[in-house]
Amino acid sequence: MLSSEILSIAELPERVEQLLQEDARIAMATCLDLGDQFEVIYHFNKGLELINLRVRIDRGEELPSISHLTLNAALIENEMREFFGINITDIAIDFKGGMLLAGNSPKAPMLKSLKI
Amino acid sequence: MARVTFPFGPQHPVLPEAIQFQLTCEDEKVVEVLPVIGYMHRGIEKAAEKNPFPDNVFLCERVCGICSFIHGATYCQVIEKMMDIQIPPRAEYLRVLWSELSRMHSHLLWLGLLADSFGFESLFMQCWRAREKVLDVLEITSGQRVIQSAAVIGGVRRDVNEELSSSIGAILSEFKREWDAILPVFEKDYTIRIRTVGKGILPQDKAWKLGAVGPTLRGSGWDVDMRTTGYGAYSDLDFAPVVKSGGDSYARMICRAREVGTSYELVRQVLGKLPSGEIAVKVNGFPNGEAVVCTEQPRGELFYYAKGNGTAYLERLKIRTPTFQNIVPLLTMLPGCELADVPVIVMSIDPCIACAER
Repeated sequence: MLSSEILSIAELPERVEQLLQEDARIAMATCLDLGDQFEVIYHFNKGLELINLRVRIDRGEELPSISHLTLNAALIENEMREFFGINITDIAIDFKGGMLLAGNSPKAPMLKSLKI
Repeated sequence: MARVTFPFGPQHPVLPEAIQFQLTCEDEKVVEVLPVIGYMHRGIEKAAEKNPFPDNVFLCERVCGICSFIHGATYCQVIEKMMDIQIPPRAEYLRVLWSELSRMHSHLLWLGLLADSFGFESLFMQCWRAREKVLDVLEITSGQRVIQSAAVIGGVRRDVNEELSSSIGAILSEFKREWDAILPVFEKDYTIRIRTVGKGILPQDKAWKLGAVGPTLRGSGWDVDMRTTGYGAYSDLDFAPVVKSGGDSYARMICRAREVGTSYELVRQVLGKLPSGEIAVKVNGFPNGEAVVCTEQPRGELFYYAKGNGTAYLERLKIRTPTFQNIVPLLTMLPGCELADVPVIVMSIDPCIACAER
């Protein structure tokens, strides 16, 4: 198991802000389809160290964007929303579901329930 | 002053791959930029869940046609980390050999394309002629010029014997003679300086905050290179990352140009220190758990996350390539520049769009 901090949605922005003040930056976020829930792992670089924050959300629940805290989260969040159908709100650069997928692409293709 | 918004790309002479920037200009000055991507998305992460995990090496090698070996090797590393597999020292060294040859040919390809973007055609041809020698070495060591398929989970597929090693040495000596004549042109030529110095500045503080990686970050004065973490055989080899302050297109170009020399020296060290022994270990069982591996691609930090579930199929594979990280910094470089400088500034991050979109 990857070492990580488990946070609630409400705790996430504060912890992200704290990491940014410590000169960490977001490297990536990985989304996992757990069935009834999604698990999002935010990976931060602090120098060459990797810090992982885990958040679980129910299907249909809103996940506030952290891109207003760190702009380079914007592309990561757009991709996560398109691939998993997560309702991420207020992304700083919003491609409205058309960043990587075309209009006729399968919707939320990374969901386990979608067989391709 | 009237504002005009128009597309730059997706098909443009300077772009090797399809990406669009919607540029808003006032006269000849760029004031706003919006990227439009998605032309080259292939669903590789989804496909990785459908293959038995050893077959994903071939899939990952096809994320990028320029640094395919590093993708394959990084995938092997993340699986080996999850399964706690220790590969033989000789395999670690051979992975460095192919990684550094990949970096050399990638940088030479890019330097040629950059020269082409500002109309220096003879320099473009000289870079690509020198690159052919590196491709020759890749071909004689792996059988392939582009997709080497040399990495496997547990080690490498091919060995380099003494005879091959001396052939590589001879080809690389010829390469070095050519490269020593090309490098000063990039460093000193008046035309190149006019087209790159002060163009597309990425200030040092923004470079880190906006997520820049690789030569795009090191060209803004940051000494960050994943090879210094000592993965593989890098911990046994002497090298220092190339760092340049300035944050402009010239600094990014110089970082890549000088990294060709660093990679050349690393290849020489590998050939001189190659340990004897096996080149692979047998792998039993299925991956279970999670692992993250970060390596240094020609364009910067490459991130692989994998989650196994104890079966032959992965639960998840996440790939983040350097160009994906360097797009947001590029959006900071372009506003304020002259329209004529856009091609060179876009090229200065060495964009690999197929990589970024996977």
